[in-house]
Amino acid sequence: MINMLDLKPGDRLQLREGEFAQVVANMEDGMWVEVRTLETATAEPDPSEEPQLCHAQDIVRLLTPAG
Amino acid sequence: MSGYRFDSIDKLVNTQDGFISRELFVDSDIYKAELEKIFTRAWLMVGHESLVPNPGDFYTSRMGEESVILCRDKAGIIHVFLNSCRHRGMKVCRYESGNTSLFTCPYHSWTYTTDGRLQGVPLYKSLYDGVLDREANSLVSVAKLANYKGTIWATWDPEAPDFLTYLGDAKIHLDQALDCRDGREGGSEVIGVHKWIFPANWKFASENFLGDTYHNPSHRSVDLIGIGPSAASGKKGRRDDELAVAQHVWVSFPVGHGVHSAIQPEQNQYVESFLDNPVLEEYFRHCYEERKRRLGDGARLLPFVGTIFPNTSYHGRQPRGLCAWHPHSPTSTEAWRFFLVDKDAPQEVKDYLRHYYMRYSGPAGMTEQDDLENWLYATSASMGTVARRYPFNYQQSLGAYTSDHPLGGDVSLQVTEQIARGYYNGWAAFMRNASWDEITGGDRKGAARHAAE
Repeated sequence: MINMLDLKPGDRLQLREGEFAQVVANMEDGMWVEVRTLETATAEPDPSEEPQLCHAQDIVRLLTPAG
Repeated sequence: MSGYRFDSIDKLVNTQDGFISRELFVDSDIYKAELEKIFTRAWLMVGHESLVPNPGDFYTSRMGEESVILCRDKAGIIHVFLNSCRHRGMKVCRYESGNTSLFTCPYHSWTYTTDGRLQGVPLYKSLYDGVLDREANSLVSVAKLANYKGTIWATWDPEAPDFLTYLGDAKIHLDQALDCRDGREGGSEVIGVHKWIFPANWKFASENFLGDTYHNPSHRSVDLIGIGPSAASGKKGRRDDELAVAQHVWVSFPVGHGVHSAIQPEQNQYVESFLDNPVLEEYFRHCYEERKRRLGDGARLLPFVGTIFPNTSYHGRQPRGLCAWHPHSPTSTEAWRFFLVDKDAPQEVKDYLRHYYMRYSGPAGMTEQDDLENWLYATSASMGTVARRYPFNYQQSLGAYTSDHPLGGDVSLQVTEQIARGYYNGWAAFMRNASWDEITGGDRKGAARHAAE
């Protein structure tokens, strides 16, 4: 189980439904992070895309911690 | 039983002869009907803009029994929402106040932005196919909201008149509590809120603040001790004697609002009011002269107390503040005291007034304790089967008022229960589901017809 408080901006996530996302901000409420979706696990996010909320239950695993 | 009582509202409230049934103060069916017929329609004071000065600030409040969130969104717009998740109803905010970017329901984590929009739904794509109607599942917003000189008012009724129409001629009296001491409009700030629960019906408090001057002897011990801002200098009492030479007026307005104000003589002069502190004395003397210069003859009107129907009261001068009497049950009320100062008053003035307000009002306030003792024993002594057979007497100064006065409303120049009779006429109109036109006084024939019946 991922501790949401550990997630940092830049972290890449594998989500349910085969989706990927990159953390934009962590409000540190332990439930949600703001993310931008990714085409693939290694793709770059579209900076013009409005960040959306991603819930802990939607996250399958942490792919790449932010450097 | 409830049907019988509700069909007989006008028998419970007989203002022609001056009797009000005790059932209004103890009966659970009447109480439930009040929540539905009054607290979902009337304009209710929710708070003050100074409680939410920054984007993301929130302050949880109440409308009737229901928890609401007073919130300033990211764009700075003030909202009032029902504090209940659209999914299973859990409170989305369990704090009294704070700052947030989101309200997350602790139960299933549905999450709302500060403008009430449903933003986050866990497993949105997996379990809702990504098509849940977020707009339709936003936090429930009040139907209408008004920011009146910093005070935030709201109603659940989309058909309610605008707030100023609701306020009617009571406006200039409430104004004097909300305006700066030097006559500038608005500019007040809340420097603290006292909250406590007392075992009495909420209407005891509302009625008391209409202008029940008759109960003054109950504060005699406080007056003898002297808790006012000039007490140490020899002026005993709870306040100063600023209104001692004024013509007092007790005014009953449509809707059920009632006020006790005072009109100073034409050659009105400053009355020393804060002799215990030279800084405050100088400040208030300056404010008095400035107000007189700004308002001219209008400065002669000074507020004392009043109640805006159904459950918002004010103290206009000393100790200046607003009260919300939130119903908890037929015999339990949550009192909120909002203490007001001019936002740009010197810090020493604010600090001094804060102490004075606490000495006077709130759960430890000496004057407030006198009132509470009366309200709670009046409630408990009215709960018995025998006691309920005997209505309260409201015959004081029957007919001793004029409806032809520049202040509007029904104006009495002597201590009177006309303001209470007007309040309960307003109460009865709401309980009958009267039209807004009748409630606000536009349909005087309808109101008169019901009074005659």
